[in-house]
Amino acid sequence: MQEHYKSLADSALEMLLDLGVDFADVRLLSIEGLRIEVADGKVKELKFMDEVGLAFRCLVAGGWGFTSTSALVVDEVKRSCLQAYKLAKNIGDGAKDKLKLSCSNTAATSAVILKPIEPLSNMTVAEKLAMCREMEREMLSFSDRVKSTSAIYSEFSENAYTVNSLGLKSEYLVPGLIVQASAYASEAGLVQRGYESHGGTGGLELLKHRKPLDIAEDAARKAIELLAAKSPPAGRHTCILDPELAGVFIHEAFGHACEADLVLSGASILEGMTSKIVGSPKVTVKDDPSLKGLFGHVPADSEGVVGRGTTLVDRGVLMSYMHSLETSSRMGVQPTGNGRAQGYASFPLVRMTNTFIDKGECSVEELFESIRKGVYAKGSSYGYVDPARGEFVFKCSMLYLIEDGEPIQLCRDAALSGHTLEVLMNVEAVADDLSFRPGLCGKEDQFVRVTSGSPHIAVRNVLVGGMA
Amino acid sequence: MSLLDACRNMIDEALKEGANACEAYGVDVKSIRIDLRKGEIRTAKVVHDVGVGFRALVRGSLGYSYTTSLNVDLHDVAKKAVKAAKAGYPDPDFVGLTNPSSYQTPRGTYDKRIASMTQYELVELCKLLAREANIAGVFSVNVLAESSVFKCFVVNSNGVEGTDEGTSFQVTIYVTAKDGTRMSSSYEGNAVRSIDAIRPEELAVKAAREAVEGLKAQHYRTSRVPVILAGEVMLPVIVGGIASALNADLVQRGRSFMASKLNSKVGPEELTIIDDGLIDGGLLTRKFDVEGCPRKSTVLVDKGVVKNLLHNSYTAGKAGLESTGNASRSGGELDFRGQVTVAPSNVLVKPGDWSLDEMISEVKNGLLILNTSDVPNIATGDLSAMVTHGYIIDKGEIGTQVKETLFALNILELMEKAKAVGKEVSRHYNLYSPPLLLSDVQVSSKA
Repeated sequence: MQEHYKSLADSALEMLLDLGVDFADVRLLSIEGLRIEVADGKVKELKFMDEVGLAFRCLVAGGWGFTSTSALVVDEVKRSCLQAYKLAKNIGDGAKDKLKLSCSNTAATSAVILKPIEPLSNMTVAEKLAMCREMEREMLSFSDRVKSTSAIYSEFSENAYTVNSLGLKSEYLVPGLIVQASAYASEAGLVQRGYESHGGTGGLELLKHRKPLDIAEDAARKAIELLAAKSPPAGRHTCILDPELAGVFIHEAFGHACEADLVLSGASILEGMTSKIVGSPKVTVKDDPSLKGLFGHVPADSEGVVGRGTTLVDRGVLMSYMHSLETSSRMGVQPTGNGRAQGYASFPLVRMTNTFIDKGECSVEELFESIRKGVYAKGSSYGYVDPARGEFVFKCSMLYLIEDGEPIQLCRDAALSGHTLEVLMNVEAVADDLSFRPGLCGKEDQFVRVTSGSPHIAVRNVLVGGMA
Repeated sequence: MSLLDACRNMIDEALKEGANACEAYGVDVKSIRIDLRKGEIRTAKVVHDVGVGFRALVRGSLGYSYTTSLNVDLHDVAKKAVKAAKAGYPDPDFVGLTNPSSYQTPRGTYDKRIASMTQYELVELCKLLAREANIAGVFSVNVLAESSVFKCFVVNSNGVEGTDEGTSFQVTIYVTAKDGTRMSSSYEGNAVRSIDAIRPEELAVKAAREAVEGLKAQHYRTSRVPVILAGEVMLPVIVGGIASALNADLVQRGRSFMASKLNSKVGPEELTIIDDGLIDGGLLTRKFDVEGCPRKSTVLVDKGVVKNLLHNSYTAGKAGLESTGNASRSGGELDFRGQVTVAPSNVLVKPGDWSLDEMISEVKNGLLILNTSDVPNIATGDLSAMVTHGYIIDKGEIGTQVKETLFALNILELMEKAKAVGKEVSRHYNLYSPPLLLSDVQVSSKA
């Protein structure tokens, strides 16, 4: 990060303090990146990304003011600081609730630089483009029923510097990448899409953990398999969820309701539930931003807080919510490093990072043996939750009917649904094959990179919405 | 430097760098956003997003770049797009950037009262809405109000130079109600171009009533029943399902369930759907799209027959047609960072003869579905969705709300099964639609 920009951020903090705020922070964020999308043999997008901006936030008598700018010059910074102060003061003047922020661990952290094993620059743009084209060829060669393909390679280097009036100071540089493959197969007028992705924080070594050509082949295989899929049976079933889907399940069904800002705004069904039993003793759920290499890894959150991992559910008991500086101060606990913003122009919210169901004790084989009749749901397209009602839904890309312990018929486009307070209670078995998938999570128009993880799990009484 | 000058400047720079053609899309949007949580105003934000998205064509290969700082070296940004284009390879389907033409000036897209709105007014509005929504049984009220004013510019090396400006105003109200451990919630929201087009107080009262009613919500039975779709649920069905599937890019690639449906009859005579980028006060009404092509009105479905697809310059060039003015960017009309895509503008469903009351008595036993957060799978047309706001219709009367209930249908099947089109048009974001009555839909719930 350019020292000049950092000193601009430091002087902005001083400016805000001089105005008489109760709390202020200034965040400098720069993102550089490259995005390549190839579709049907043609380049759809080849883009260099490069932006830098400053965010100013202050608290005056309980009211928050927030501004941002991409014009990194002294006059504009002064103007933005003053505006943030005025916004905050206006709200603070009318606020009954005079929030004060606190955080016991405000030692300045030294700059964290995530050094990739293989820097992103070790491949040229032309080589990365050629890789995408090869992924497309791989999908097309899988079957002549694959008619349309896309391959995406996207890399970023995120450099953040945050200072606040509690004395917290953090800086990090994190590179990362994601590779995505989509295959569209068609037969007799029916079109099916298979999608696979792999990514994380780090460098080109991530491409060795799961090879781009394997990702492409898996996407093509999914699309072909789905051509034979039928509409799923509507009703309640015992479900085995694969790690990808179970990861989305824990994120949607439970993770969001554990976000303390939702709890405080009266919009979470988990309000007042800490230290109560919310799930079967087989279930332990964690959120851990410190897991290097995973896509949701952040050395410090957008408020400068270093998160060391939070156990949300310990063997069925709700232990903690996820926090920002504001929510932890309101609830009298320590922040957990979950205050995250999409970019410099967004206000930090309580967000998940790497969220997962911890591994259990049985093997996948034992888990399948225990379920004689039900469904096996694999892969996820998306999910969402209404955390107040506790109703959630998530979409699986493939669903197999299980009879006599064997998957027999493949179904497509099924929505699975349930209730937050019931569903973890209904977890019957957790296998030992924990794995992770990268994704983007949306909340209030902000998207952040996250990882969801889980082993195979079996859940009783899941509602499947189908057409049959 | 002004944004328009920056755009012009970058065109010159890119041509000097060896671009054969290039285009700058400049956006300046300023928003004030007020958040009220659990009855109290929490934050006031001013977000000023300004930047230029740039595309350069070198020997038939297109490269992208963008910048958010007009005080950086614009030469560098133009050079990056040229470098990206040189790293790619030619696409013979890319016919060229937009050519100059005249623009119509639509009405009702700029409201001085929104442009001059202050944070104080928005704070007072949020407080008023919180009071309106605070009825017996309500546990928490959360309000978000946002006013925005924007300018956008398209300049390209063919001589296109367009300037447009506008305002928008958005309000969302999320209310929860609690009774012991039972909790329910309701959401109401809308976005408009002029302040007269919205009644925020009515939305607040509606959200509050629905949340309290929701405490009595019941499960439904897993069955096939007639269903009325009305209100906001039409957004994923009509915009997300039908108009988005008529995206020429997806159709040309065979990725849409509508791929072979052009000129085929897919719905009843009563069903006519139009994409209109110029309608008075439409949320996505503009003089021109993100490529500088004039906005138009395009009939998508005429009396049940698929008539046209939505195009940008790329898909139109490939098909030998004219663009329909539906170029957008991956993050929407005001996104200068994202990829150029095809997207619906304002979508209108022509009203039919049925009143909602007539539809309800016709259904006898079934569901009235008003909202879901799900979207259809565009490859298959399948929509398997959770009812986030809906009512049981019992003996021709509206009964209690439903909870934990899913419905599933295919969009093509939906059009076939559309038994009646309503006459009362409601407006949600970029959609103007009456209700639809469907003869039978698979519903799953607890029982």
